[in-house]
Amino acid sequence: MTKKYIHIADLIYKDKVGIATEEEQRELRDWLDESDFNRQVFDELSKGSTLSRSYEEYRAIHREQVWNRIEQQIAPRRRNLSWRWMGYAASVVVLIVAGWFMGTMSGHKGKHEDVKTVAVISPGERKAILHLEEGKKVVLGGRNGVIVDDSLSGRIEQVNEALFYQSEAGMKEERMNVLEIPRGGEFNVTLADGTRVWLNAGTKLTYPVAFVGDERHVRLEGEAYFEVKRDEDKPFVVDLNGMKVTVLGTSFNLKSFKEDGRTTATLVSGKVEVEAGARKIVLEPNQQANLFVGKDSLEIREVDAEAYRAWTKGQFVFRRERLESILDDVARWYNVTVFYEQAGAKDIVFSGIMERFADISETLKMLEKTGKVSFAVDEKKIIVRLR
Amino acid sequence: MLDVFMNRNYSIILKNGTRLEFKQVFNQYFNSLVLFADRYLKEREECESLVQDTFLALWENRLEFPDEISIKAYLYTTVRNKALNVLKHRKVEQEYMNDVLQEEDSELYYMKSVIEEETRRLIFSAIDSLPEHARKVCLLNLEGLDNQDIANELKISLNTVKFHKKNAYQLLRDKLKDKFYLLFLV
Repeated sequence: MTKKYIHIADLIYKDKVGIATEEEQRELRDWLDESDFNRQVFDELSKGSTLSRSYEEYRAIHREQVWNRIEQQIAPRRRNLSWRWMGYAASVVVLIVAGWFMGTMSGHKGKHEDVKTVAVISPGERKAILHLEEGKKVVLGGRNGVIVDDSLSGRIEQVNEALFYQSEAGMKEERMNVLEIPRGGEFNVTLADGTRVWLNAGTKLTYPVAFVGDERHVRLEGEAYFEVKRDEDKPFVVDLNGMKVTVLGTSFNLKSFKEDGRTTATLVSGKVEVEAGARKIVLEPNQQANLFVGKDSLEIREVDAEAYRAWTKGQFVFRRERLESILDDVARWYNVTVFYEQAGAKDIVFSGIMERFADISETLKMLEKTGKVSFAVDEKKIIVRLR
Repeated sequence: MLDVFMNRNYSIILKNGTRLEFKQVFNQYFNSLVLFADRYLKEREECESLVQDTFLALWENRLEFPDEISIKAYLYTTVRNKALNVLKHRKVEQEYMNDVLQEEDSELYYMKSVIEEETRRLIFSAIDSLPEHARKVCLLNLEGLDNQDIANELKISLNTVKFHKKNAYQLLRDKLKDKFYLLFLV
C-alpha cells in the first residue's frame, strides 16, 4: 500500500503544479471519488495556508550533523578502501595493456567465434550455508540479520553480506560451526577473535563460535584468505589436508582442493610456520609452500603473493600457471565442468589477469587469444581443444 | 592522484541496474521523514535519531531493492514501524495514551501522513532549487495568493512579482529539462 500512497502523492504534486497528463488527472479523480477521506486529504493539501508554515519547519531541520554520524558508521576503513580502488585501477590498466598486446600478437580476427555468451553460465555470487552445531542449517547471502544470539553461541549475525561472530566473556564451550561455500559462491566471515576470512567457491571452514583453549584452531578444505588478528598468547592454527599452518597474526592464502592434488600456503605478510608430516618450515612474505599429494616433500618457492589473493578482490591472476589449474578455479567459480579433448592442453602454461565478475566468454576469449587453445561451450560444459 | 579514488561515494545499486547516491537519497528524504515521524512521536530529537537508524538500515539492505519506489516505500514503512514501537513502549508507561495509539496505528492515519509528507517533499524540493526571491514568490503563489497579494505581502512591485515568476519558471525549465514544467508559475 505504501507504494500506492507514494504514487498518489506524485499525482497530487503533478496536478498542483499543472504537469499531470490527462491519464494522470483521470487517475487522481478516480482516487478522489473513492472516498470522502481521500478528498479530505487532498483538500488539506490544497489549503495553501499551511504550506509555507510547513516549509519553514522543513527548512529548519539540519541534516548535516546526522549525515556525518551516518557516514562515520558506514565508511570503510581508509586502508581497505584504497586497496580496493587501487586494485581495481591497476586491473583496468593491466587489462587494457593485455588486451592490446594479445590483440596485436594474434592478429587474426573472427577466429574466436566458438565462445558465445551463454546465458546459463553466470559468475559466482555471495552465498554460503552455515551449519550450526545442533544440526541446523542456515542459508546465507539473502537478507542480513541476526542468526543466533544466546549464551552458548554468542551472537552470530549477517551484516553487509558477511558473517560476524561475537563471543561473550565467560564462554567455556567450543561449539563448532561449519561454513560451507558451494560452487559458484564466495563469502566472508569475521570469527569471534576478530580474524577475517575470505572463502572461495567449493570451500568448507570448521571453527568454534568462541576460542576457549590455548590455541585458536580451525580446519579448512578448499581455498581461503586469512587476516589473523594478532594474539601472542593464542596461536592461530589451520589444519588443511595434511598441512598444519601456525601463526600469531598475519595474512596468508591457503588452497587445497582434492582435484588439485596439492596443498598451497602463500604468505602475504607477517610470518607463518608450516608443518607437514615430519617437516617444519617458516615462511617469509612472498614465499609459498607446496605439499603434493603422495610426496613427502614440502617445496618452497618465491612468488608474488598478492596474485594468490587477487580472488578476494574480484580477479583471477595467474602467473605461469597450468591451464588445468586455471580452469579448475574458473569451473568452481562459474559452476561449470571442463572437458579436455586432448590431455596435452592441461599442461600449457598461461599468465594473465581476468575479472571474476565478467561473463565467462570474456575469460575464455582471453585464453583463446594466445592462439594455443580454443573453447566450445555447451550448457554448463566447457570443452577445451588444442589449436 | 590517489585522491581520485578516495572520493567517498556510497552507492545504492538497484536490481534494475540503477545506481543511486546514498547521500542524495538521504538529502531528499531526511527532512520529510523527520516531519513524518513527528506526526507519531511529537518529539523532534527522538524523531531525528529514529530516522538516522532508518537510513543505517537502508544502507545495510542496500542490495535488496528492485527499484526506486521500493526504497521510498521502505523508508516510510520503516519509520512508521519504528515510531509505533516507541509509542507502544510509551503506552506501557502511560495508560491514557491508548486512544492516541489506536488512531495512529490505523492505516488511514498512515495514508494521510505519507501522502501529505510526500507531496510536500516534492513541492519543497522543487522550490528549494530556486533562488531566494523566486522561492518566496512561488511559495505564496502555491498558497493561493494572486500576484497583487504577493506584491503586498513581500512589499515589492507587481512587476517584480511577475519578473520573479517568469525567472523561476525559466530556471526550473532549464534545470529539469523536459522532465516537468511548473506551469502554475505562468
